Amino acid sequence: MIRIIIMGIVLAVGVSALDTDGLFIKKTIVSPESAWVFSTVEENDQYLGKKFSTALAKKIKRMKRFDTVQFDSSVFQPVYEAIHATSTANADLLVTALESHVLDDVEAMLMSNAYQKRRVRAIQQRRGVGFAQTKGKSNAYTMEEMQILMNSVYVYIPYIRSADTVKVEGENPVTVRTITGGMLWYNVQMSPTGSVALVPVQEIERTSFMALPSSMAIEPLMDAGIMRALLSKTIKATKSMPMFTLVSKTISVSGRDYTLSLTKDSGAKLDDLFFLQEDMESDGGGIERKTVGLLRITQSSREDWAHGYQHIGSARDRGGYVIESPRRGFQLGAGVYYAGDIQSSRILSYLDNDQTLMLPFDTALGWQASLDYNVGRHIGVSQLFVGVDYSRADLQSNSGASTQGDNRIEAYHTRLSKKFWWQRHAVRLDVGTGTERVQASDAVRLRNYKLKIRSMKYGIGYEFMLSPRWLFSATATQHRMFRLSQLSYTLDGTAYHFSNSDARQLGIQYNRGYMSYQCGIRIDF
Amino acid sequence: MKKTTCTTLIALLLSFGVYASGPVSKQATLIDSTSSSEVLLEVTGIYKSDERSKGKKRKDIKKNGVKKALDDSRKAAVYFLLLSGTDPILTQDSEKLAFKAIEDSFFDINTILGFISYEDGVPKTKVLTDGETGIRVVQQVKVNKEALILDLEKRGVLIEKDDLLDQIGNPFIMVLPSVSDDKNPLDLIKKDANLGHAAAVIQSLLTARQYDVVLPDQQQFLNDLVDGQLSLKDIPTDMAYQMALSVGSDIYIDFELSESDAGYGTKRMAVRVRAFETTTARLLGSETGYSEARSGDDMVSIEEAMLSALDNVLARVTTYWKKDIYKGLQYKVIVSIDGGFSPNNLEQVQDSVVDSMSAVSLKTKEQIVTDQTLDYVLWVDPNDYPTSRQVWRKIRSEFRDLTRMGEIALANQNRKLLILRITP
Repeated sequence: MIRIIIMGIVLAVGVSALDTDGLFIKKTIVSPESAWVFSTVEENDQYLGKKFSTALAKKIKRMKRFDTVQFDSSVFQPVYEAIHATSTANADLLVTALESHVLDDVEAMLMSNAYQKRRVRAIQQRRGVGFAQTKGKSNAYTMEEMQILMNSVYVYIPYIRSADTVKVEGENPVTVRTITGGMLWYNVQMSPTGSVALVPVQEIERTSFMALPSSMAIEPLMDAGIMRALLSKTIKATKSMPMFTLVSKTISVSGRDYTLSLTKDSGAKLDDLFFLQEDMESDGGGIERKTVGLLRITQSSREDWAHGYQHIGSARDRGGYVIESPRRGFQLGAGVYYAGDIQSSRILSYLDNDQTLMLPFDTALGWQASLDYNVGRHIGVSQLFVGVDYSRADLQSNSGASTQGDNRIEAYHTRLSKKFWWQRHAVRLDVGTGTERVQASDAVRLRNYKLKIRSMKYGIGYEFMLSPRWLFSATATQHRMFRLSQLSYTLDGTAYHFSNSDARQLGIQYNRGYMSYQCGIRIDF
Repeated sequence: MKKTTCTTLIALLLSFGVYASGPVSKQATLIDSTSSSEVLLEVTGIYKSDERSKGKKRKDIKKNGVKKALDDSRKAAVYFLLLSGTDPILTQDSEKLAFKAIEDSFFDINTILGFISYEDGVPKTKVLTDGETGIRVVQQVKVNKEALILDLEKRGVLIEKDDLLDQIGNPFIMVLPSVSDDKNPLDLIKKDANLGHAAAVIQSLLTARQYDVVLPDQQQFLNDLVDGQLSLKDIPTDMAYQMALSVGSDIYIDFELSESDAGYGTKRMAVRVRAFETTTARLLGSETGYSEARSGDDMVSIEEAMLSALDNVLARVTTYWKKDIYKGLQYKVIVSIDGGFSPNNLEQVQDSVVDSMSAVSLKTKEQIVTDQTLDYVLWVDPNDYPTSRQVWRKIRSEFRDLTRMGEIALANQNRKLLILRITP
């Protein structure tokens, strides 16, 4: 394993040096149909291998930055038979099996005219304007291009190392399911004299888990969720490998808008993030590449160059580099939550058309958490997020009246947000819908008060990019009730329970609500 | 007085502003000759901000650095072609001196842009230097070298090519592959497509540059036609003329092709090109050229290698011709002295013919002297004696004036080769 890592580091540097000017060149990926499931994985979990490899193959095939090739299943079958035939299979055995059964087919593919013709555009994209390209109109591969072509095929083997289920007993038993898996990457290298070798490049291993109450823990469903997360982590790590990371040059700049020598065909997508880098002479006279900014793809098309907007750093002129910062599209946030002028308490003021005591709470203070996902990049709308918010705040009285017990307001919302950026600053518009629960256990004559309402919310927020991953966020949101789900309380010893349909009798005024203010930190990953 | 001083000062300051300076960088590499008139260069441009504070320098570099460094790189490209490399355009001291007088105004960026036929516009590399107060870029530019030369000719820095060719006698050039003695080059060109293509490339470039080119197969046809016509008229065959015809042209360009394997099934073509004066055997230029290693497209590789060699060869030929204007055109004179002279008389005859040759030339070089043969190279001012015939007439009249001991006659005159015969 250590040998693989060391060789991987050395060869990843060496192989990436083959790329012309260090810029991204599309690689060919040979995608297998099955996975190596370790012998330690139980029999009834063996299906995870096929599930993982199929999902990986499908995802990699969809990624524009790769040229994907799938051989006939009979090519890889002997490899899997060899490694599954023994309980002591290891990476060396895998390499031997790949060299024996797969390498010849890869070599035949490399030497075929059809493959070389298909790869012309990717390999020759950065040709100059010498005689051969202009008057000569030559598409013939030069030696340097042949070297790149013959060393740009990668093979991966997905694997599942372990799949464990642990039940945590107690008052609320919880089932924790953990799956560990990854990919072993190999590079097919051909020397100028034609000899072919398979060289280990990198191993990516990730673990995902899910914890659910045991009553809800259905293993296949948990596996589906865990595998999705495992796939996402593995793909993100794959994108971070030097030979697969998108690296490009900035070819023109207007203010903070950059044109990059990347197209959608190379895998650059809307809202992808890139670090802006420039070469600088160090004190010792060497050249160092330093990060000077962050930009986000704002426009990407198949035929035209991608455009990006620079958020962090001062504007630079053309000729610099951009290197991808792969993200999964999620933002996780947390912070302080404050609600003011809570009017849900007025519901009780219309009981039996008589005014009753109101809850002595006007405000609430607590915390909030959110998880957002950028859906906009899939549908061509930049910075459009779908998110879920959870907030929990302790109800507070501004009148000074004493309160006892557990008095709180909880809210669960799903939200759609759109951000509008200017440099590091963004204005965010939110709209959402969800459920709010108000609970007061002991408030003067009122006991066991529970209110559940459906509400919608809309708000405006401000975000500031503290760093490429961290953002400061502050929002003001108006919550509006639109339906009562449940109300129950004990007043002067008498218990009351109202459902949705009873709301009319209460004379509840809908479209009332409260203002909430959130302030916190978000991390982009 | 004060007004006059101010006006003078303003005029002086303006004059400094009008003239741009040469490049800071002067670094360039020749990549490729992309056509008969254009060359592709990889050039470095450097710009260092001259603002006062470090902050302002950095700001200046961010805003203007790339543009100014690219401007410097364009100047460096032109500078390289003019004055650097193995075959600069300005070779003679007089040319360099003439250029010096116009250097500042010549390197105005608008003038330079007139010679740039293509550039990427995006630097291939960009490095910030000196704590981001300077910048160095590398880019590829295509320069129209022929336009540059024409411009310098118009400015009087270079002698015009037509004038040069006129002064050295409007030489004809023939292109043939280099062959061993038992092979016919014309047959080889017909049979070997690569050789035929290489010859065509050279002829294409020569005609593009308006040189007088003689096609070997057409020349052969003409020779046969003339011979046939003469024999129809019963005019006896002139063997001397036949021998002279076999020379073909004033200048030969011969070439050799070879290929080598370069790995991954690619081939690299190499060419060797030589230009020499046929009747004096003087080598005017020799260069090798290489193509990119490539799989297939042999014709493209041949032309690529040929263009890279040919430009240098023709540049050296031109340099020799320019030198000839000052040093004199070279003639090869072979004097054959018949037997029948006494030793004393022989010496006197030899001295007379040597003195005659000295009288007609700026310089002479004695190659071989025997009792029967003198082999000399003469450098003759073309302004005094524009043709070989006039050289011969001068030698004859001088010899007759110097001695009566022998009769001098012209055995054969072929371009710059004079074969003389002295009889008792």
